[in-house]
Amino acid sequence: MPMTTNLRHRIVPMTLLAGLAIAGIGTALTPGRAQAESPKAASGKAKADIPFEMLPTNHMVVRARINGKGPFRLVFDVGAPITLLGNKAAVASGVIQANAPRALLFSIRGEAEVTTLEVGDLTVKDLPVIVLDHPILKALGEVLGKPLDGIIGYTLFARYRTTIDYQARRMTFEPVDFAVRNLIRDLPDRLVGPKVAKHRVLAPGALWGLTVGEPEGDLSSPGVPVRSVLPDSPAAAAGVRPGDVLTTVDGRWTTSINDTYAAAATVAPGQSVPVVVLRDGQELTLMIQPVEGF
Amino acid sequence: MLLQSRTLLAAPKPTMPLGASKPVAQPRGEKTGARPGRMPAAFGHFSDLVGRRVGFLFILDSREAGAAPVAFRRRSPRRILMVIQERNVLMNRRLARFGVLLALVALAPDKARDPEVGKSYQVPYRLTDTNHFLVRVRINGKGPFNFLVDTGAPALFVATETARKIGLEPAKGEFWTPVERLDFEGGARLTHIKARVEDPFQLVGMNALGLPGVSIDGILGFTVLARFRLELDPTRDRMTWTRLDFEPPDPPAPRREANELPPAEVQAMNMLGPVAKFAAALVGRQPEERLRPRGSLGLELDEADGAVRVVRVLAESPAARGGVRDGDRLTRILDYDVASVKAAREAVANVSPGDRVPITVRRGEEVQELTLTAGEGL
Repeated sequence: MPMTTNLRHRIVPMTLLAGLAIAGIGTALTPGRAQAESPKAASGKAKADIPFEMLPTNHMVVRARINGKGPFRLVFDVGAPITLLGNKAAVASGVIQANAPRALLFSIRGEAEVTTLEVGDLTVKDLPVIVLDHPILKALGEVLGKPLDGIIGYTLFARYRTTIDYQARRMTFEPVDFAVRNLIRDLPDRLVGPKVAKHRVLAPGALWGLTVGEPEGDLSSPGVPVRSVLPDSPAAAAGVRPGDVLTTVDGRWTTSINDTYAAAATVAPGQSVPVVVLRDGQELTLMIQPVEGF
Repeated sequence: MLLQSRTLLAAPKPTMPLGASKPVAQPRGEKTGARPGRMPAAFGHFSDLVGRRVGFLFILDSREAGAAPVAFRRRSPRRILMVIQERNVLMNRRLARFGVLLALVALAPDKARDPEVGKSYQVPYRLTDTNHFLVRVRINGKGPFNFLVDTGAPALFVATETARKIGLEPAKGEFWTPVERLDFEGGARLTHIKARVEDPFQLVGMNALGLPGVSIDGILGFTVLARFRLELDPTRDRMTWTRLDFEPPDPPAPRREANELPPAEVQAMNMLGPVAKFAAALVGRQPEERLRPRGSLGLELDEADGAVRVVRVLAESPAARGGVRDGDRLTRILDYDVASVKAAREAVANVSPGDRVPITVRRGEEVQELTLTAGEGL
């Protein structure tokens, strides 16, 4: 359904997002998983295959049919938090009406929804997009002599397990059960939200039996020193010794005390994980199996 | 983030027709960076000796095997059995030879092939509130720094402040600054990469508005990302990066004489960084999140008969000093009744090192009130 809502209120965040210059006014950085806010089921089940073209400027371009029209040329951008369509393509595909109001800056038309977007074997349904003329997109199109119609961003690819193979010039998309949050909707509220520092406790997921100290050496520090190891603890059983420098826990760097706790937070009791320590200049990988407890 | 360095926009038009899908094969080692518009060699490096030798042997073998059914048809079943036996012997000999050859090939020094090729790494990432992916990177052994994963950026960008901190000096008059070594959290690494030391307006804006606890130190664009097959699964907390045998060309450096200004609208975009800075001053930067480690007691627990059982008290731990013994049943922690390990875990969720933690334990028929002092550690 073509629609533009609350255009005026959203121009500021949209401009910022469009420039992708903006950032988090929000609070927590979510490790890995994003908060679910507006659930939207992924369409289809099978893994879809999508060829892409590399521009001489090193951008990936896919050809997509939007609402049955097109094909349109869209830049695939893992760094873009939104999916964006230029005015021309949006009107041609019926995503917005030609007489929809527009802002002076970048001809912003606001939010709209694409009913179907087909790219390669993939059909995406009910995709929210922002309609505006992105100046860099326009400039790129002009330099390369072929127009670019939009940008595919997070709101599309976060519905899938996405693989990108530049060598084979191929992407695959496999639907996952993941609720993609709508940034535009909560950003204005966040801009005026309370400015209270959030406290967060970093709780290890299991009992390890060791303490670590502050790292030495600032930016060249490889990790945190192990200060003590409790006798008969999982850490002791694995061979960790006081004086070791702990550099990695389960594939995560431990460059600060907080890092160490954050890495231990994702390890469950009974899970055997590799831990890397430096001892007398040697790098040792030890397996630790922390136990239930605290 | 669609990133196009302002200077790169001044690059000359491509010399190759757009949309051409066939990669231009190029021998490895030949520098493609200076020639804008040339597509990188995507397949078949000539120096890929292992692949070629094995492939060659394979073809020889399958051709001989393909002749077998014809021979069978002309012979009696008994003869066929003999032929099969003969063939088995032959096959075994051939296999043995094949094995020896394989071993030789494996031993043959092949400097051209990067031992990293084909290796997969689990790269932890964080998703920002603005739906950007951040991974941690060490540059020339220094760091860690937060970098945006951004297929919309053409190259590796390092913020000027970050570059200054680690002594990464842009060479005078050179567009690219060489980076010896790039290590990614999760184990992936690259050597001899070219970086552009610059502050794209996107970074300026994002850092001005402030991501709690995080400043963004740069952008991982095409020239880094294309060396890996990337798998992004939003339901997992790590990406999978598999090293490809692929050396992407550097994007064209701007011509020296190209001092024309970028299009007006791009200049407008470049203004967004300062605008965001100004907006941040008005709106106020979000305070940084305060993180603190939880305190530890040194109790190994499980559940038995609907109660929380102390499996083991770690020696010299706060629990040992406070008088808890192996086999005790834990019934209350900090005024919470606890009937499961989960409940016990929730009861201590906000305990800091140094906090006094009153607990109630059942030891046989006896009930004991103890007070522990939480310690540091995990």
